[in-house]
Amino acid sequence: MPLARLSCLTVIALGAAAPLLAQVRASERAGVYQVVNGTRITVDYGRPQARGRSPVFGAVIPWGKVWTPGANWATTLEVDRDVVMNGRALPKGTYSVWMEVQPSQWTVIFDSKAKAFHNSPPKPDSAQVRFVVTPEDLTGPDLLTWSFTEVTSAGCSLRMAWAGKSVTLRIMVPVVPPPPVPEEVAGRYTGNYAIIFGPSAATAPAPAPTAGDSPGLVVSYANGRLLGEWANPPFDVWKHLRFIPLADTWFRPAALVDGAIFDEVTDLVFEFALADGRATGFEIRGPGDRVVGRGSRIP
Amino acid sequence: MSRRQFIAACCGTAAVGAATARPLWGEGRRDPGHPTPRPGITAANVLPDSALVDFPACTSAFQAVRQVPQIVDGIRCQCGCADLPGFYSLLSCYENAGMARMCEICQGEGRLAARLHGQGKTLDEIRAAIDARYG
Repeated sequence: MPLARLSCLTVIALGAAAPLLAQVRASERAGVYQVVNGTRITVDYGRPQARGRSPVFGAVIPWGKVWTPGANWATTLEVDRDVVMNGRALPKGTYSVWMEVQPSQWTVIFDSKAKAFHNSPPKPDSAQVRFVVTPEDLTGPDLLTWSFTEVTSAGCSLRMAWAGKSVTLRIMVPVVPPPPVPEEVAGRYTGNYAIIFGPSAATAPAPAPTAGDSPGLVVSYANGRLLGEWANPPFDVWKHLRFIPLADTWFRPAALVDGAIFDEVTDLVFEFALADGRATGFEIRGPGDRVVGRGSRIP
Repeated sequence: MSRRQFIAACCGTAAVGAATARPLWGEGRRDPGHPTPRPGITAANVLPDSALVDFPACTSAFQAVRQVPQIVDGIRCQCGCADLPGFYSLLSCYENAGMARMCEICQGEGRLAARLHGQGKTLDEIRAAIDARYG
C-alpha cells in the first residue's frame, strides 16, 4: 500500500475515533464502591454541578419531581448480595435510583430497570423498593457527591450530598458467621504451644519446649469456636484470636475485640501438623507461602 | 513498623508487592474456574534464574514452578491477572514478562502448588487449597 494512502487512512481513522475518546460532559460520570463483610456495594452516577444555581432543590429541581440523584443516565446502585436498605429488603441486583423531592421529606426509590435516562423516571410499581427519608441541610457541595461515610462489620452508611441537601441511606449486609469447629475436631488442637514469630522463623528450628514451660499460645475451645490466647503477639490486637477453618488442618487467625471478630488476618494461615490425631505443632505461613512462624505443643 | 511491613519483612519480599496484593483479597472470591493443563506443557518458557537477579526473593518460587509445570498450568491465578490477554494459567505468570517476579500471590500459589504436589496431593486437591488460601 502506498505510504500516502496509508497515512490518509490513518488520519481518517484517528478523526473518526476522536469523538469516542474525548467526551466533555457538564456532568461527568463517576463511581464509588464499598465492600462490607464480603458484600460489594457500587454506585455509578453523573455528577452535576450547581454552578451558581440556587436554590437547586425547590427550583432547579421542583418540589414533587422524581429526580435521579445524578445526571444524564440514571444513577445506579448495585449490590452483589441481598441487603437491607433503611429497613427494606433490597435483593441482589442493579437498580436505578430516584428521589421524589419534597420540602420536608423525600421518597427514595430503587427500580429494577437499571438503565434509564434522567427524564424518564419510573412509574410507581409495587416491585420497587421505596421508603421515606428526611434530608439534612448542609453547606454545599457544589458537585453532587455519593460517599460511604461509615463502615462497620455489619453495614455502612451511603450519603448523597448536593447543593445544600444530603440524604443518608443505612445499608445492612448479610453477616455470614464463620463455620463452627466440631468439638471432636477442636480436641486435636487444644492445648499449650511454644511459638516463635518473625523474620527468623523461616530458618529457625521449631521450638522444643519441655513440660512446664509457660505457653506462648494457648488454644482452647468454646461454643464451636477454636480460640487462641497469644501471650506476646507482635501486635496487641492479635492477643485474642479465633481460628477460622480454611481446610483440613488449616486455620486463618482472626483478631477478636470484646469477643467479636475485628479483623480476619487473610494473609496468614496456621498449618497444623497432626500425629496420632493430635496436633504436634504448626507453621504460620504468609501470603508468599513462606514460613513466618512456628509452634510446638508443650508436653 | 506496620503489620504489613512486619509481615513483608518476615517474608523477605518487597512490602510494595504485599500492599498491591492485599486489596484484591478482600473483595470476595473471583471466578474459581481453573484451566485445563495443556497437553505436553513444559517449563521451557519459565524465566531462567538469570532473569531474576533483581528479584532474589522470588527465585525459590520460580524454581518450584519449574518442577511442576503440568500442575501449575491447571491453576487459575487468584491475583487478578487471570483475565489479562495472553494469560492462560498460573504458569503464564512465570513466563514472558514474569509478573510473578513482583507479585507475592503468584509466588505463594506457585510455592504452595509445588509443596502440595510434593506431599502427593492431586491437582484437584491443590486447586482447592489455592482457592481456600487465595480465593
